[in-house]
Amino acid sequence: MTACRGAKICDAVQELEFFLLEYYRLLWCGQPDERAVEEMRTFATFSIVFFAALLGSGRVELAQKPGLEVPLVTPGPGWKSCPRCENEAHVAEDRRKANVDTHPFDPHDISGVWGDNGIELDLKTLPPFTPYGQKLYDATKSDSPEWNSKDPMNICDPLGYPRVFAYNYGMEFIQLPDRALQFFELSHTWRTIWTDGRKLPANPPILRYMGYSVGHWEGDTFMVEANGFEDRSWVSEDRRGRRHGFPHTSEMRVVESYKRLDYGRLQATLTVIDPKVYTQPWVTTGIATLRPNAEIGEYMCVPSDSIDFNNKNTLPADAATTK
Amino acid sequence: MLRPTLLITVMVALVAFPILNTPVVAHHGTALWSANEITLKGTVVEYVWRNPHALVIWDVKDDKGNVVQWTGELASPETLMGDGGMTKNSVIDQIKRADGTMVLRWSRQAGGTDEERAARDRAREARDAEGNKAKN
Repeated sequence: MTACRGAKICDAVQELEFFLLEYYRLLWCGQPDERAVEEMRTFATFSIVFFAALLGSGRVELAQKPGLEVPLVTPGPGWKSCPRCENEAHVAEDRRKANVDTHPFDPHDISGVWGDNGIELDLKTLPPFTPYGQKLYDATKSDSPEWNSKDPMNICDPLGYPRVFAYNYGMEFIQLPDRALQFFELSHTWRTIWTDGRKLPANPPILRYMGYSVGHWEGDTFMVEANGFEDRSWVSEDRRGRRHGFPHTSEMRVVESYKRLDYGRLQATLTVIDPKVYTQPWVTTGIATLRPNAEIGEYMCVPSDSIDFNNKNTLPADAATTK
Repeated sequence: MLRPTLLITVMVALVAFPILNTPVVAHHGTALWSANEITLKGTVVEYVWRNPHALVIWDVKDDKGNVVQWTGELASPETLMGDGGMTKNSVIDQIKRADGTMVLRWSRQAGGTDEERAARDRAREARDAEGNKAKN
């Protein structure tokens, strides 16, 4: 362990290395090969040294988190930054200036830009797969050890719902008299939630990546139901190793509730119901925070750019495509 | 004004952060990434300010004088704006001020010759095949 410079760091590296190797065995059900061991060892070393630097020394330039000294990049006067175009210090400053904790609010007004990413689906509440669900899940396994080769995002296929709930780079709620819109920064796309009293289609004439959605208020909670989902999208990528995606069928239903806890916080609960794939409903609860000084930008997933990126930086040379 | 070292520091940080902060890297795994800190001086040949990640590609001469091309993957332009106060042009200015020569740390080797890359891939496939055989 030549990278070790102190006993405590050495111990920490060894502990993390042990954890990573156990994690590897769990995920891939086998002994890691030499290369994997070496990668995890160096990763463990780096991580611990990095965190030690973060914790231990203000003189380590790498350890400094970007703060208010970083100029805010906007298109010009009157324009705001996109949700991810501000660092944490600027976000905190914006929220302080807007008095988000004490600002009066209407519980039936959930409009605004929320978060700089979505709410990840809760792996702790992931129900067991049905046998058919397991088969679908297995089919999403990456062909490559280097990335998830089957992720529809690689070539900018639509993320669909609820993946874009879980991973969106910021979401704006817009309320109109007969509908609510969710505008997502990632992919620069939106979802319409009809509030004019219509019911979900019993037999959707065509499947939609964003589904068919209707909403209504129950007290101070905005309830949303959706169906008719295109089954080529994933519910979410599986972040445990990034080798799979969570599948769904076209019979998936999604039920959501949104409640404004105060001016600055929106509590969301999302339930995925797909008995063909999951033995129980899959429930995720999280809180999105208001971004008072941000506006949705334009994070497009551009197929030609993504293919170029894959060729330059992800695919091995002999697998790169020139398309 | 950005200090001359800031760009490099931010690059290092932003290339390192995605590994530690997984929500921002859904479209690739961690196996691609070099975990070794590397310092390389070379000439920038391409710079891409686009989604999903900005890239800097630069040529570095190895001990034998052969040119090896490296790819440095940065965060997305939006994150570079937020965490680094960068814009497309500010990065170009940085590169110009350095006469196209940059010292970058921490990246993965995308290059080498095509033969070298293909050899690495073949070796990896062989290892994987061996692993599968053992499991079966």
